[in-house]
Amino acid sequence: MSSFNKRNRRIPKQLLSEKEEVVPEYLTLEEKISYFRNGLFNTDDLKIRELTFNSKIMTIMFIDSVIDNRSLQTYIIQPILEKGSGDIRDVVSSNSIKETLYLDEALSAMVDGHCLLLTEDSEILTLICMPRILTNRFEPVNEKVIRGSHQGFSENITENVHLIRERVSSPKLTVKYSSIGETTRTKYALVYLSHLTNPELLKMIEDRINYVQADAIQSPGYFEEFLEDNSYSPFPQFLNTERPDRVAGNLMEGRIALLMEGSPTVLLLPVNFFSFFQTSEDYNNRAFIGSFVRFIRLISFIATLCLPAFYIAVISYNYEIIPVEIIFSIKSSLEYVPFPPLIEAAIMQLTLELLREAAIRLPNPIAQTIGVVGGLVIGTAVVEANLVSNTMVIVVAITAISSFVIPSNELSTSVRILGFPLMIFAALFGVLGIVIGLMLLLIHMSTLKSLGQYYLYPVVPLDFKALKDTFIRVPIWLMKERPKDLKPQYKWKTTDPRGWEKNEESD
Amino acid sequence: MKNQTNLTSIQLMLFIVQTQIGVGVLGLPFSVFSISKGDAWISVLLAGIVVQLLITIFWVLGRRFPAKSLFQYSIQLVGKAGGTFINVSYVFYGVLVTSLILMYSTAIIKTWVLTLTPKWIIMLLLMGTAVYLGRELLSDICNVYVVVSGLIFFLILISIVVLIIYPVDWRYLLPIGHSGGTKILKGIKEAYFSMLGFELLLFLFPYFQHNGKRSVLFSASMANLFVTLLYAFLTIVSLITFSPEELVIIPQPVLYYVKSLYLQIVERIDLVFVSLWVVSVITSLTSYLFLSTEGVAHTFKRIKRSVITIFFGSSAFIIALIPNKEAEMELYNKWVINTSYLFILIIPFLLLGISFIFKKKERGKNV
Repeated sequence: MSSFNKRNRRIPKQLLSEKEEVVPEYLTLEEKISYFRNGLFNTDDLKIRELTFNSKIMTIMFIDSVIDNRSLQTYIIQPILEKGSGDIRDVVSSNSIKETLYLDEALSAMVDGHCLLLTEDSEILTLICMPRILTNRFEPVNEKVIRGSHQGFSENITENVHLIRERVSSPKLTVKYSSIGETTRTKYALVYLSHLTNPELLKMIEDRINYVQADAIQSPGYFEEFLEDNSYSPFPQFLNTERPDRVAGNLMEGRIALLMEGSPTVLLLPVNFFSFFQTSEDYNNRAFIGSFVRFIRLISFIATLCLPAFYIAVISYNYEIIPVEIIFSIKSSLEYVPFPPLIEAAIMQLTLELLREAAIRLPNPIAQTIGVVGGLVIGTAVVEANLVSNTMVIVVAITAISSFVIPSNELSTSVRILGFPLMIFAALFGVLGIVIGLMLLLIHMSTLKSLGQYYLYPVVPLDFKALKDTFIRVPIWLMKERPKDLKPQYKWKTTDPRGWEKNEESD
Repeated sequence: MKNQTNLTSIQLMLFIVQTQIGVGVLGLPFSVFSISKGDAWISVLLAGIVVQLLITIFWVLGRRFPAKSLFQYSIQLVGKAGGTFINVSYVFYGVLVTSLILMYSTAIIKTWVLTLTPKWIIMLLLMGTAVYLGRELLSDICNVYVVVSGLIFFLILISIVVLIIYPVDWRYLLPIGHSGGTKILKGIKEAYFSMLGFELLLFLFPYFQHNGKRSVLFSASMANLFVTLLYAFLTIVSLITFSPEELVIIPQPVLYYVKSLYLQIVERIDLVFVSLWVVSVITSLTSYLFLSTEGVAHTFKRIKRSVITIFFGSSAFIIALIPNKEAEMELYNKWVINTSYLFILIIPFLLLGISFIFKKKERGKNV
């Protein structure tokens, strides 16, 4: 029972602002409209149309990213204009027409796919259910999941906002449309939760966007390079995704999404390094599995970065490190190879990049051929021709596979490229060189910021509480608060959702 | 101070720990043993107590000027000329210690890992990394220190493994106190070199004072306690692993016992160990570079921080290149240690005395 009280205590905190305002007192039409505008935090997808019906002013309010605009025109606006008078129930054609007196009820119904009719000198708010925007259902090819939503963003900005609104059906979700680019006039939208996202972050990103003066903005990549903190860093500082569920999840952490017309890629900002290792599937799997997979990904990051370098260091400098038994087999495979290990590794890594790049643009069946030619033919032939040693092929193959384990494509490419300087360090100074290289990398990463937030959070600065969702994923009911790096306006996530355990035991 | 209010007391603690643990950790058991023999660990513990006393004095001094570092209140206490002189000498001290650490670490790396690599390249690697970190703000430096502190536990872990699987002989420690009081006391001096680093408290105080003055003392003491215990532990492990006859001829006993460790997957663990120990060296270098940079950055606010750090980094680099033979290095070492008494004992005592006699102190603005 005590937990029940606690829950009651916390939830009204969010809704209080609306509930208090619902005093059934007389409001003029303008006051009602401004109530809805404020209730939706002046979002740009709230549309208002004024008509005259029964010789009174009638206002139609709707959120254009939620309902199908064409149906609104044919089934609501057209009949009203044609008939001009009568009972509204007989005029519009819709499967559900509701009437209410409460403004807050109308507010949440609007977000949920209704359009709202307000009439002059009338207390009654009419809610008409509208069909939703139909979106094509296709899964983004670069972010597939086994279990979970298979919906991907389309290239139309309104549809994309709709997909987000479907998942976060709250009047607090705010959409700010604007356009940028002198010639291209590209439409973009900032989406965030008004009561959650830190206003300072919002101001910062708006300020930065205001500085952008460009002739053309063609893709989210332009935005990325204009807005990110350090453009020379090898690490991506904004998260790219084509998955609405991922965007919704990140919005709920207090992040901001940047959508763009003509691109299914949504930028999420600010992000930290570990966001790139999270997928929406982690939260669908059992916590054990989720943690294990997360761990595998982080290990694969380290392997991609260090494995070739470590191998080079061992072979060319510190062969004492590995056990004697292995040295013999490595030595025998190296016997006829004319190149130093660095060149060997560089050849193999570059071949791998060639194959990857060739396979991207080819149609699927041919890409498979490339796989066979590249993987099998070159792999075996290169060893038999003694150009590259057996072990090096293994090392490079493991590196390649582990780089593809990293869920984010940009990060995995960056990490593979970062492997090269590390390999040079290893070839020059052995294990010591790797340590120096990693140290430099750590210093760079820990000073790097994404929109003013530490990139390596929660490791730098160390925050033990937030580690719950970083190296491992603890059960969701243990993550009671949001991480504090984004300074969200409230931290509450859940309160004892397994409180029923106590009740059942006492029975 | 400005924009740096997020510094926590754990960061202060690890800053001091990382500064103290550095080049000395590998050779400490040897150098203390060479004076106080089997009672080396007592010397280390006593050195810890001495350091604790000094930390308390620094704290009393810092507490009188909570919002200022030594670079600022020195001028207030002994006048413009005297204060400037003290500040400049501290800046020099930072550079000298930096180059001393650089020299010794390079010598160890050269003997253990990179035997054929020219000295200056190794120095350049270490110095470059230290400068890269040292030019950042204190909060960034602290953050990096916190992350790399995990490596210290690696050191402890390996020592524990040695204790367990090695045929150690505890009787090497007995009889306790047989080398006599004077030798034990002389051993303190040897241990003291590895303990250097706590003097940074004089300069860090204003950055951490918002945590509460007591917590500053507490963090610094905890840092000292941790380092003292760690050193005493390493000394004991070295003493009981090697016989006294052996210990005389191995200048880096910690590395030697790590070397003889046999794990199934890694054959020569000492090579990996030296490479990881380099991280501790880099942090110590960074701390002293930070000390010098702070001294100048306060006076000349117009010069960029990174320029100052690069300047001091390269001067320390050049100084470290001068001594060629080991004897010269020893000489330089003795000289720096002797001057360090001036900076750690005499000047702080002098300032504290002046502050007490003339009742000069400041209340921090209520934070």
